Amino acid sequence: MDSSDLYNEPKLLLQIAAGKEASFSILVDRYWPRVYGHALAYAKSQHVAEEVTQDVFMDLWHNREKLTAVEHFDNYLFIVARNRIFKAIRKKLEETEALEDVHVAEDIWLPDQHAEFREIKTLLLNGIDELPPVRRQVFTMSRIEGKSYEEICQELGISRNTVKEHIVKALNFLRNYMAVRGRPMFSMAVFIATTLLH
Amino acid sequence: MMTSEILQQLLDEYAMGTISPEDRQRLLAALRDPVWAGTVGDFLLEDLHAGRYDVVAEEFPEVGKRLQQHLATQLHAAKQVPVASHRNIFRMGWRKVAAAVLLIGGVAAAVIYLSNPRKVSTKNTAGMAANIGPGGHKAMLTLSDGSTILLDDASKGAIAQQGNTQILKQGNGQLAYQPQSGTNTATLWNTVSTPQGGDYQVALPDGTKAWLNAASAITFPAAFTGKERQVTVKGEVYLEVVQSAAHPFTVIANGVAIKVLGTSFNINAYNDEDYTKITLVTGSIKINSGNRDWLLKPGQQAAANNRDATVKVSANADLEQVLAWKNGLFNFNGADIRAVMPQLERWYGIKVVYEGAVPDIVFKGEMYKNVNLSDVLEMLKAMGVKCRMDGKTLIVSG
Repeated sequence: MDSSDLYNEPKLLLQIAAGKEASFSILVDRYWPRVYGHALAYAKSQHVAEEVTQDVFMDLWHNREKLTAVEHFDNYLFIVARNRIFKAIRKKLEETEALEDVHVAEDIWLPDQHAEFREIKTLLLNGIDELPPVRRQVFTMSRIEGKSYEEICQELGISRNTVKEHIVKALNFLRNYMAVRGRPMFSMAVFIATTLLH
Repeated sequence: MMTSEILQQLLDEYAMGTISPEDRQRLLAALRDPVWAGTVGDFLLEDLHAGRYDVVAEEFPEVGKRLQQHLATQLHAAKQVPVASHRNIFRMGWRKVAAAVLLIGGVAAAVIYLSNPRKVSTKNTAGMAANIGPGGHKAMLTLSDGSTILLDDASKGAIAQQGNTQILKQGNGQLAYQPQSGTNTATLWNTVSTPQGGDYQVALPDGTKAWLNAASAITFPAAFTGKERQVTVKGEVYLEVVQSAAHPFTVIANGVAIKVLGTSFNINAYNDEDYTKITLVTGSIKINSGNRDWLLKPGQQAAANNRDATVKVSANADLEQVLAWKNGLFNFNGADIRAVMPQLERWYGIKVVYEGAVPDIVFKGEMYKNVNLSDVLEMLKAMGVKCRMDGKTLIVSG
């Protein structure tokens, strides 16, 4: 983050090193959306992302006396965050690996599951509708039209990174959208896997 | 075989949720492999530095709150203050801090999105501009008889009737036209217009959605009855036109006619700008200007000269930039002072004058529109623009 030097006031860091919680709170408020956003993108669970974010900032607090020697605070913070996010990805992949051995009978749907499914589907489509237009377009092309990364890049004339950013941000948004409305992302994952990708 | 390109691709597919089970195995193997783990770590670090997946704090209010609460409790536990009254004092302190942080939150959000290596001087802040706030969702509806309704004040529900069409203000503040039974005889023209510092969204009688940027207007019939659907726009409007092959949709902007089937596109037709710019996002549109036609493909932008009606079509328009306003952002990437200032004029209701030569500065980065003008000026100064406020006039000196 190039703009970071605006906020790399050594004063704030010195106050934190001296144990001033108010200064720490200011720092947390400035940086949590970055740590949380990246944790969510890679851990793919709001709960885990929140834990990761808490841990990152607790790491900072526990090692606060080191802050006096830190030259670029963002470099320091991002390394702490990177380490936590890296672990979260590994854990997530290991859990998925374990789950893959369990065979899910996806063809048998009970009547109440059908109702729940319809409800989730409506909710999810509403969520997609609330995405900003370009993001909605990219997400729809990926998940509903089943287009590949490259096809989306070409058709819209945007870069790979932009496509990636739109899809991950759409997923982050929808995760929150579903969670706030009482639907965990798990249902959504099942839904996307079974119906949106035909 | 693993390469860092493949690894980046695996990580991207994982993040997007499109990774195959086989590739998931490969990625996990790479994470466990000391040779490649560092590379993955570098990719993560790059994302963090770029702020690629930052969330907007306001969109996850409970996350920030819970985090602050959790940390407060943890820090508190670490301090081991056992007395209840202490705890209360401590909590109050924390809340006050949170309020202060909320105040500077807007600045932080803006700063984070502006990538600029130079330092901002905290002295010499734009004192006069401190109380000029950003625009909001504001608009006025003008009915066919010339009567007007302020939409930001109007309460939700039915706000007017035009022939057999009911006009509703919906829960989200948007305007919708609902046709009722019966036949419409006369065409009743309605106009939704936004002031400086206002934007608004309206659903037309056929379900077509229109987003209006500041100082813009759209005029349309309360019911589309004939074969043709025709609307007129001023300023900047983004349209998502509902497809109906039997009822072609035409938009008139600054003398340019845009014929569409089912399509979404942005029109920038402020008459104080040199060009009327039409950018196609999806579908296909035909533009008529000065008695000539141009066919646009998605991603293309047509710029019609407002003086001589000549048109230049460019491929690969930066859609992100064109549509930034709709997503609550200013996108200043590659823009110079003359391109940036009119946007600020329209959003903050100010006037910009130049003292001496116009500085030759090209901007970078995005910024939220919901910040105070003083914060914007702070950014401008950080980018080397010399400026000061005098009442509602921003003076930029060379």
